[in-house]
Amino acid sequence: MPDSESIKYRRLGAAGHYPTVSPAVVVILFFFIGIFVLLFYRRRELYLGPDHLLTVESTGYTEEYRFFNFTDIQSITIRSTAYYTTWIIVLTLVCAGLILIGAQIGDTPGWAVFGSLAGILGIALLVHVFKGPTVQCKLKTAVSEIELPSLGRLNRARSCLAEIESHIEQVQGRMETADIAQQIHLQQTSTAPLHSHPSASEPPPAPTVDADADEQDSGKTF
Amino acid sequence: MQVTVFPARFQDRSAGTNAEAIMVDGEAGCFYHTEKKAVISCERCGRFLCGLCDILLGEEHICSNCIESGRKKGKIQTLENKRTLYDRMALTAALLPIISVFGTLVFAPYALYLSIRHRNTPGSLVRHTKWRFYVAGTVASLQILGWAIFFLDWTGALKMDF
Repeated sequence: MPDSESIKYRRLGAAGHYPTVSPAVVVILFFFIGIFVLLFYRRRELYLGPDHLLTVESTGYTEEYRFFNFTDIQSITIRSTAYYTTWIIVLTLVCAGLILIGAQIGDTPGWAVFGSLAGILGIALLVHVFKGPTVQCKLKTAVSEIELPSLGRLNRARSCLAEIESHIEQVQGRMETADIAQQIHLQQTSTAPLHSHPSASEPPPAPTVDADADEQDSGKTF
Repeated sequence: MQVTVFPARFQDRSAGTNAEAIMVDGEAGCFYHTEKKAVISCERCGRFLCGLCDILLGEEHICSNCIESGRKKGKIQTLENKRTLYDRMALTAALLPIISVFGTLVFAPYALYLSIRHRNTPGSLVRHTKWRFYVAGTVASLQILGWAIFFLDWTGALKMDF
């Protein structure tokens, strides 16, 4: 952590939440503890610093920080998810169901109750549609990969990525698509002999265990 | 799917340092690996370290034990990755018990304690503000003052005619 308290950070995107347990467990827990399932969610925000990105995981009364220097960031991935379509279908069906129930009841109080419920869900549906498609954004370094739930919408993720990209390019330089393809090709060709069958004239080297390397791995990862 | 790749993706990661074995009797050995040659001493505890145990943190050569103890005690600021937000705790302690008045008997002094004790403790790294401490301190003081007036009036020490 930089020892200066005076570093100015700027938040990128909104606060994102992610479950600390698997989504299937969240669904099961919801049937037992209801709304308190939110206790299993944590808040993660992304901040832009002068020479690094900072993720802040908050429980409300504690904050955990992870720093990603611009020099260390290898890639950022944006992948579309099915949540956008799923929520549109679910909210539309529930809205339609509530309107139908209101229509079946027929009297004014019934309409008022089910109509207002359908209205609230309708507004939620409109907000969801206008916010745009949902995505999963991941940041990768040589030794770690982290999801950025604060960049959960395509428009927001793209605008933030453009900003992050400009900062990283100032430090690392820019790679054209042709360069990337060439580098990938070089990596593939350099690793190819490992996967090919060894010929009879070139016996494979005997497997060795490098104890020093093992010690180094365990001793210097902190 | 959109993948943005940066040059760091294709940079060679240099291999770490290896430790040399002791070849001559009497040569200084590593504190943690006695069969390895010592190359430097820890700048915090002074223990001899081999190439594997020497960790360069900033401009300081230290051993893994000092890193661990420094992290636990919060003495190495560059390793600090977690903070407690006392300002939020104080504000919650000051405001939440208002729902049930008697809760303020316990939580108001606690909120005041937090506001005074931790007013200079580093708070959030991204939000440099102390307004929660001031609000919590003021609200807690008013609650304590209210209870003091109530008890004085109840015991008859304070004569108030309304």
